[in-house]
Amino acid sequence: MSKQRGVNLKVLITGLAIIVPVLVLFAVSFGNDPRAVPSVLEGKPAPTFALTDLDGRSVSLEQFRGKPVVINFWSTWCGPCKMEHGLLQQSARMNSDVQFLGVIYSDEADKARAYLQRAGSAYPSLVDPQSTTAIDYGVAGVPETYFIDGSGTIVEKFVGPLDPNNMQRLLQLIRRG
Amino acid sequence: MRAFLISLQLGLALGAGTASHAQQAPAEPVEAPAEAATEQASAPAEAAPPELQPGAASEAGAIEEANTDIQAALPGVTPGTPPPADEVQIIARDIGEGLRCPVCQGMSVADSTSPAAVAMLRKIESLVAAGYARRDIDAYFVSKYGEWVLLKPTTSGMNKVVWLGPFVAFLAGLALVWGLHRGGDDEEEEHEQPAPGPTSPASSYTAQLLDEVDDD
Repeated sequence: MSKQRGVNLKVLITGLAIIVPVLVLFAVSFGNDPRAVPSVLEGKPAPTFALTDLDGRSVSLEQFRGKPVVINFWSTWCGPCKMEHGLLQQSARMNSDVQFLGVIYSDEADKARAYLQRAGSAYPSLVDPQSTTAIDYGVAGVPETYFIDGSGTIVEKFVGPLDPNNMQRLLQLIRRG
Repeated sequence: MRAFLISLQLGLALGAGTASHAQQAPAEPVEAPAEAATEQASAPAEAAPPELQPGAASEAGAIEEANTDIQAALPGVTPGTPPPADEVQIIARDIGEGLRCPVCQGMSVADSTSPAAVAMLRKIESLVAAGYARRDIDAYFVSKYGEWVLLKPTTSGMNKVVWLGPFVAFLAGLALVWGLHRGGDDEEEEHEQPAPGPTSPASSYTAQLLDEVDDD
């Protein structure tokens, strides 16, 4: 009788050793927003770049040193980019202490220019030939938006279309830096 | 086996993704170009725009830019002797085989024709042409995308769990089966050959017989 109880205990412990870690893994994974995965670049200096905007003017990150910067990677073939476009334009107009920049990702400059003429443009949109700047920022898709504080450190990378609450929260974060 | 390890790594990354900042998998792209979407269905993908086509990495400007980028990301890394020009693409493609395309599902940079993968391949070509070694190029992409970008996980840190986990689990399973099997055998033996106890009728009968034999 006591032997039978010992075997059951072994099976129970083994079963728990297998099931509990799996349940913990699922509990941790399902409890989080999959889009809220932080970038490995957060807390690190923003990669520098020197690109040209759609009007041919040279724009570098260095020229905004000391000022919080928001860099939005977008494309005209990206639906969510169009969803957040209005919020980005409005935020750029209302927050003159923050520099907003758009970087066109894997798209043609003419298409981007035509779209911005229709939808409005409150800040420079930069052409990124061969996506070198996008790779340097670890961009995996669009839209992705990087919030950089005045010291040039990436505070947060936001994946997906921005909403007003997150925009306000992140603007406050980069102003504090 | 490789696919199993990769899927296990993805599972662990999913589990640990938001708990630790040490190794993060980039989130799935919210939207990818039509080419990438087509590619995920294993259909021929549309070619990347002309300015993204690989093969032009020998341009001095591209090499200089790649130099600047890798130096900024990995200070102290120095390039070696650049390979012959006709080997650059071959070496770059080989390195690209080991890097994950960020907008595809389980495809390498070398195998994908999505703009993101083509751009990464061009960057690899520039770095190879500048004389950087595979480990430096891998380290550059890991510094930008995290270890997720490596199709073959390294054997350091928590990744040891990925490599050793299946073997440990297999051995634990064997031990469990062996333990249960032995327990069953012992029980069977107990049932088949019950040891005669001092109070059982059979044992008293045997004892009586033995006494009689001794007396003779």
